[in-house]
Amino acid sequence: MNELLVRDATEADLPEITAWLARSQRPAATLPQTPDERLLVAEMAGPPSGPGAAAGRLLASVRLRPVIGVVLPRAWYHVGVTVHAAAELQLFHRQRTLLLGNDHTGASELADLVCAHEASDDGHSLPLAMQAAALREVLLTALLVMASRRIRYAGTLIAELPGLRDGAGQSPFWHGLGRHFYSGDPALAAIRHGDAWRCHVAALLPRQPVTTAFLPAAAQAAIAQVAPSSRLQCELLETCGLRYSHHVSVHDGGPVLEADLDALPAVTGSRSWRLAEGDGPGLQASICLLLSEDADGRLCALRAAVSPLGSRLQIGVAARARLRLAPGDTVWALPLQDEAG
Amino acid sequence: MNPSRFLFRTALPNDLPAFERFAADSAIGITTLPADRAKLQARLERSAQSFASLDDSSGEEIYLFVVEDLGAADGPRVVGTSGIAASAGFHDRFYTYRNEMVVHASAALQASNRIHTLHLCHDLTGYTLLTSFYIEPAYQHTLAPQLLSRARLLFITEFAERFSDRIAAESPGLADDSGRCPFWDAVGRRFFDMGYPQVEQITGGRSKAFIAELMPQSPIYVPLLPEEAQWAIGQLHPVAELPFSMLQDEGFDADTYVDIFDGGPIVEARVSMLKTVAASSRMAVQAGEGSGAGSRLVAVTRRQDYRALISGAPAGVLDGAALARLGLTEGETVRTAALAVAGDDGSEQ
Repeated sequence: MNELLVRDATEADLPEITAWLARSQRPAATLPQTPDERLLVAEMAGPPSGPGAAAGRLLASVRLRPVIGVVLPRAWYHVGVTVHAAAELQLFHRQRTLLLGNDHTGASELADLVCAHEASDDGHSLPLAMQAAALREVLLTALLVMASRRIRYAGTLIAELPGLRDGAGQSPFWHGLGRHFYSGDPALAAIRHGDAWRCHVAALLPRQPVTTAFLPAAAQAAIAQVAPSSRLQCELLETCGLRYSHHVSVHDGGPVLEADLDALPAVTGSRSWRLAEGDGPGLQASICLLLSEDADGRLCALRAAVSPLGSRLQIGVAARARLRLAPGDTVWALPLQDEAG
Repeated sequence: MNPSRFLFRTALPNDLPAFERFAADSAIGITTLPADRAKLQARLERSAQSFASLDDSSGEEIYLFVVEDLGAADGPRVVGTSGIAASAGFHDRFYTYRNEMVVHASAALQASNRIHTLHLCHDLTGYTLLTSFYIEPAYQHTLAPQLLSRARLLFITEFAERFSDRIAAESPGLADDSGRCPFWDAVGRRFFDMGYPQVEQITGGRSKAFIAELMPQSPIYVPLLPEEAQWAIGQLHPVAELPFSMLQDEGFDADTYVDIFDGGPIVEARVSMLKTVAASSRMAVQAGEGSGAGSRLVAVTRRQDYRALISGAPAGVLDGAALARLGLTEGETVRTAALAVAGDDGSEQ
């Protein structure tokens, strides 16, 4: 497996991330607006000569928002069930309902989890395993960022996944529900207002529960369905411990995954270490994902062989250099037991 | 046709064959005229009990009336019926959909939409309900329908303590001859998976509330319904145009409520605001001849064997034949109101 490095995105990364986002009709990428918002990218690690040479190929990105919906309200539909039963008539109907609300207000969010599709400029597609590895790396790094600055993030973490689209890029969910309440083009609104368009459009959407039986079959079938192009992201988020929260996006019916941050293995299993002196891990080395922050607040994460030495952690010189750390500095480490050795 | 040949009277048990004729001929949706001999008979019996019941009414009374053509070629003939249910949904809640408009606006998206919603409600529970209107087609263009529809309002005025001060009437909504109903297909069928006539059958004639409680309790966003169903909201079945137009002329409001099953309009009003009610007055009757300024509805003021007719005589005056038809003697009190319909005396009030 090629080595990956996760870092904060820079201005130069935005066009490529924007191109990835455009595949699922999402607004262009922008740099974080607040200190605790992060836009992380995974790239191929450069030659191990020094951090300056690590500008490899971009492979994946994720945005970490510390808190959502507190400035501009965010809305989702809660997917519920109402039972209409009459024993004498042998009627027992389970009706799904959609109720617009701001249920996840105040949560932290993993957004725009996307990856490259081409391996390189020759247009060959990036192997699925490579996509998965890159996505997993940015995802775990984001979780470590939250774990290492726990107080700055909420107890609940959500991730909203893109919903189904037809061949023409139209969402059957929007076609069956949203368009009756906003006749404008959602794609144009997204370009004009960015992510905020979903907040604006919520003001036009039904406030009362909508029985899904009133929607066309295609719209009903799209509720909480992930776009095939985002199925990998969905699986990785689930592997990290997020679960379908019975909420869907207002614009395309894509599922919202949710987790109690303090119950996630990446959070409970990771901790801070001080680096030991020395130039390599000992014989009992295992693989950890390591997260560092330099004096300028720039993040860097990579996986490396480590071994504990008393209350300190030993890592190799090359990894330490890439992390821009010196002995005695602190690092946040998550043991990756499934890939030990 | 001379309007004085029509007599409005309490329906009697021996009117059953006429009711069977009406039921067989009336549209699907007039559930108060079921095509079932036993049920019709039961309704006639219940009506007779209602007329006979003591003054402190329970609210569950139904009152059925007929209009008779006394001048028909082969002898007097019952040609139409109308009824009153004292209190809508007496044993249960009376469900309707209330039309409401909500405006959703987003300044950022420069959009503002007026959204039509239907709210399941019990607003009309306890209202007096006008029911069971039927007139034979040959009599639609006579004054018999006016007598049939409006004389019952004089009954309500006379015995106001038996009724609510608010009144409503259901009209059948759009459906084809097989009972297919676009509103039901878009709304109710999604929760029952069967046609409306079938639902009526399996629920065994019990209150519609039983069905309503199986339907979604949250408002229906009309734009989500198929166009055909949207069109059907508040639309009349063609057979109901005549009784509906008479109710509108009376001053009933048709904009607020629709039937939860077929989407037909439900009109409602304050009893005291209805034209016939507001214009009616009590007076002692005198025998006499002559014609007044226009035709008048004249009704007795007794409950049992209630009768009414249309007279061309001045207010408070009836000829001998009319007195006999009403079973009155000179000096007794009547309740009367000007008929005053367009084309009758040339004026419209």
